[in-house]
Amino acid sequence: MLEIERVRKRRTQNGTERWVLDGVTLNVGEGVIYALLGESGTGKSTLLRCVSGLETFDEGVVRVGGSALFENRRLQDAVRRRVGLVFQQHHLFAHMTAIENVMEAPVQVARLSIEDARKRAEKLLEQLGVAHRRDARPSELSGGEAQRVAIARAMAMEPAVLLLDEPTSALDPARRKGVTELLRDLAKGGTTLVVATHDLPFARDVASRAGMLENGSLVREGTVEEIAGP
Amino acid sequence: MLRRLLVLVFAILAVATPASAADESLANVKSRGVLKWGGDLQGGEPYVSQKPDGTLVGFEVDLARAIAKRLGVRDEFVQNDWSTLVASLERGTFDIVLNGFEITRERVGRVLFSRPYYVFAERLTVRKGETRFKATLPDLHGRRVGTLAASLAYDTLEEAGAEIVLYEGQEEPYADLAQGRTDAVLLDDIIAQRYASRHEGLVTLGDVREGVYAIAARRDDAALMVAIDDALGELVRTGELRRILAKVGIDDKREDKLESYGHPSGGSASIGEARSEGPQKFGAHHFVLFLQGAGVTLLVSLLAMAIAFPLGLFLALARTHGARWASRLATTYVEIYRGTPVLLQLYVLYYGLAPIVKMGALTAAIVGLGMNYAAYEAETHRAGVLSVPNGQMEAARALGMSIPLALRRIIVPQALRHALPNVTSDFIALLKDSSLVSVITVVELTKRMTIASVDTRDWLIPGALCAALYLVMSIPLARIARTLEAR
Repeated sequence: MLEIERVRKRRTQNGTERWVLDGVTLNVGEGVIYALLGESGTGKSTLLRCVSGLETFDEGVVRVGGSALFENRRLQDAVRRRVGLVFQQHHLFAHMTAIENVMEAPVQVARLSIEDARKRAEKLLEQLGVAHRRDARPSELSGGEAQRVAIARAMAMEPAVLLLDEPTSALDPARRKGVTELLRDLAKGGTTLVVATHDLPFARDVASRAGMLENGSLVREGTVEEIAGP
Repeated sequence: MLRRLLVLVFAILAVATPASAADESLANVKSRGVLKWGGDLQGGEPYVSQKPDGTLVGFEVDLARAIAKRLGVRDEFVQNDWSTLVASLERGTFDIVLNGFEITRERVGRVLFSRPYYVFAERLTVRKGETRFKATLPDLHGRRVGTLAASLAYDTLEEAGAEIVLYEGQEEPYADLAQGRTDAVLLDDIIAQRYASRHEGLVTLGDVREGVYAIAARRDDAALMVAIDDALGELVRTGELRRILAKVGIDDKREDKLESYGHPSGGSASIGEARSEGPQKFGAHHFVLFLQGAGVTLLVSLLAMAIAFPLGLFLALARTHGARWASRLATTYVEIYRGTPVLLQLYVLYYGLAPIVKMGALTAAIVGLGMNYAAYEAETHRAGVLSVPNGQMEAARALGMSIPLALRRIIVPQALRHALPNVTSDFIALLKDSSLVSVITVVELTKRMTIASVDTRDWLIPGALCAALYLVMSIPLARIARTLEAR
């Protein structure tokens, strides 16, 4: 479903050039949860941002369902709608309520009717256990609630691939378990998930495949146990 | 009417002549060795103007020199805005006013006048082919006529019941007449000769009445005025004055009267008949005019903001999110409009572009202020846009939104919340800056105040009322701004 092939990205910092992504290649099949491991600063977030189309890269190809990202602009927009990204700081739209956040892209981008978008949003908020907070503003939500609304917002566009950047960083252990179940459900429904995390216990629980990034290169691949030990 | 006015002038002078012991005005000038005379170079030829090398020329320059010489001192010109000549005279900025200063009802009693040094006609200029009216007072009733503030022509037009359009300089009334913005211009024949002739489509319709220029001094400076009057009398007798006038080509038959005007007792009116109509009392009708002025101020400000707000937002977005050329263009706009005086922009828009863009004064005022404030709103909005965290745009992009859609739905609504208190403050500033549009003949609150002050010879009451009206408009806005900021 998601194919990343020899992706390289150059960045100039303090006058010196370096490869923040140095030939990353990985494939994730449909309905698979893939954990992207590594210390902070190894390129996990950058890779997610490149795959979601927020940043460009210098070499290589990213394919979603066989279509290459960034071949031309229109294709890029179409493909990007098939890739969802949940940010570490969730970035909910501050001037909208929770349900408005979830409805926004389906109405404005996918051109759903408001009723259909509302039904879809209500269903997602229900599944994620935050339906009772539907009229709250982002500033009124707890970290866990905001995280779930952000996932609902990304899911509302029915992406084939969902990328999550450090989804457990704002959560207590009980909530973490909830997210684990949630992601498993999404995968069961056919969504491909890539989770960037340095939370090993969480990765062990949730992911069937994993890769370790170091200095912009994928140094090991396998199950989480194979890479990080039991 | 003119003769009666002159009688009045001399009656006052006669009363004041036994100079009190405290009147050291003449002695002061003599001990200083300098006679300071006030005028406005903007009046231009043939009165007082400046050559490229800085020397002053004009018949009033020659006249001042001749009078000073007879007083045994040298003369010194002091530049002063024409509309505030009397105020500056009273403050002591100079000793006398000598600058096409007409003897009018309002001025008699406030200053001392010398005998006249020039007799002029109030000349009515119209566009070629004008047949609707003639050059008579009754015919001017209801006509839109341009003139200069605080001039005899202004009094005449007020008397005739004309719709008066006020200008600050001599060129603009004729330019506007040629553009069809007014029906006629009534101004002194010297001005008409110089400035109307530059416009091909304008002709003289006729002369409405006569008036005179005289030298003015402070009311308490009778000793100085007597000396000046004597000197002027001598210049008339010896024919030197006529030679000075002839030098700039303004000596005409009318000037024969200069000699007889110097002897009011020889005139037909007796001193007993002369009575000053005095200054107007500040009353209810002024109050109504002030309210109207405030209405114009509010209208101009609101409509200008209605242009500035969206245009400013557009400029701000062009700068922050536009293509490179759009961003540069927007930056250039902001720099030009913020880097030049709004007064200059109004002049260029209304007078400079008149041949290309036909625009009424009110429209020009609104558009001019609106475009100027758009530059300031652009900065306010830009600060608002930059205050929205980057993640908001990224989240919108990640959901597949285009940049314009993300701006409209996500960034701008949040940016406006940040910008709104500052926009309200800017509106208060705009409310006050709107007083500048009086230079393009729009009579708003401040202009109404200066006119009333001249009419009533009082700055205190009109000034206080004017200030009160501005505060009534701005204080609620300031409160709204504070409430918005607190949210």
